[in-house]
Amino acid sequence: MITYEEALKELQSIVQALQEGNIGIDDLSEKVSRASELIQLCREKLRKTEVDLAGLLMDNG
Amino acid sequence: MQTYSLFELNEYVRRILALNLPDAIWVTCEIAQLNESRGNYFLELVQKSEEEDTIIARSEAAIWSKTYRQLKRSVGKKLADILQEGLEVKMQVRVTFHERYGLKMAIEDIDPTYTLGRLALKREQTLQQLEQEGKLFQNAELALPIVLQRIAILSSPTAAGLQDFQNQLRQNAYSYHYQLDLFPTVMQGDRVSEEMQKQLRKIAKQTYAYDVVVVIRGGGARLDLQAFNEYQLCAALADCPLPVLTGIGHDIDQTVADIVAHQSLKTPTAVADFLLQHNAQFEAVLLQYSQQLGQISQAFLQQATSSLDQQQQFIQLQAQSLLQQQTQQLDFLATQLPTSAQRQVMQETEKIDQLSRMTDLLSLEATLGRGYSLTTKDGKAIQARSDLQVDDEIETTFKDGQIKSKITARS
Repeated sequence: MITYEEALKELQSIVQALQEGNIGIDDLSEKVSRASELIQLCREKLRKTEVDLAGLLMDNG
Repeated sequence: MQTYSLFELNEYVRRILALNLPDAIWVTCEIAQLNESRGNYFLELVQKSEEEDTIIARSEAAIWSKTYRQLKRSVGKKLADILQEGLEVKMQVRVTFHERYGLKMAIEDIDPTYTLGRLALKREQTLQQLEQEGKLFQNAELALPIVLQRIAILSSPTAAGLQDFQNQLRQNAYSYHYQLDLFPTVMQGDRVSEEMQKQLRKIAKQTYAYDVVVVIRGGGARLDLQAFNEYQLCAALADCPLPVLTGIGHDIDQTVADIVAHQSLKTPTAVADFLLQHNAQFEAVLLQYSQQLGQISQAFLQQATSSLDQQQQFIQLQAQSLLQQQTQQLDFLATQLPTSAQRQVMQETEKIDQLSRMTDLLSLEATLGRGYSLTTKDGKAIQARSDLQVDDEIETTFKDGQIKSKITARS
């Protein structure tokens, strides 16, 4: 599972690339959806419960 | 050799003591043990050698309940702080000897400034030593993870502050999840340092499992904090591989443990707040990114759309002007076409007329030349007998001229 630090780093690089206009219109939706996914992931992880942990363990098994 | 009875001996000792120590005297010592019974306090007083930690003197003393009440009035709340095992004290004691009960030391007064001074000195020594060893801000230099979620708690399971801390984190407004693992230790008395060091070693073996260590202690007497000024404990906190947060719960000056910690907060509640705010700050960054992404991608799309629009407009304009040009040309041609064509048709028609007249003339002359003649009536060629009636005047054209005749009969 991705760490908060890793997620933040990736987010920063996406936002920066977008701001600098280094991303073409074709890659835009892919990058934006990846960024949204990272944000969602972190926000969920901040509120994760024991139930989620159990779910993860089941997923891995 | 003179022999005394025990009473005589004890009476002698009492008199010597009473003679030499007629008044109460000030004594410095350390409280090794303290027990209370019905408002009376029974103390074991010791003095340790400076170099080694061995006891070189030991006595029992008492504060009678009446004296204790007086002291409480004169010294105030600090009295309970000062009467602690392990503390150095300066007390006025009256030494008496009773033939039957032996040596008695009754404490009549206490100098709180002495104890506070000794503690301040001890604190200062700890600070100096830590500074010399470069440990004072060692823990503060550790990077604090951007999210603090897995918390190793050093506290007493019975501490009121611990309950507040745990409740605040478990029922937080953000509904953040926290993993709270208690590493139990006493937080008062002379075993604090030893037990906390033991638990710190335990935590150090599983640093991967935690983001931060918090030291929680709910309220309590100020001088109870002496363990947090003690060198061994403070050095252990400084050496902790994880950032340490303290919420030791005191309102006067900082303990050395607070100074050594990554971050010191006044109360356990303040530590919980810090942990919440820290994570909320991270989430705020996430939300800011989310907003930024929305804005950027909108701007992106807008730009792309407007560029497409521009292209479309350009193409439309271009096509329109091209069309207009062509139409104009066609219109021009269309206006040109009838007049020129008419002119041509007229010219051609005229030409054809001319030619046909010429051929007619030419062919008539040739025919007449060969001996034929042309008969006309009123300028019209007569081609059949039925064209003529009696009395009609006709004209006959010959090669060399014309004659006029009149029809007399149609037999």
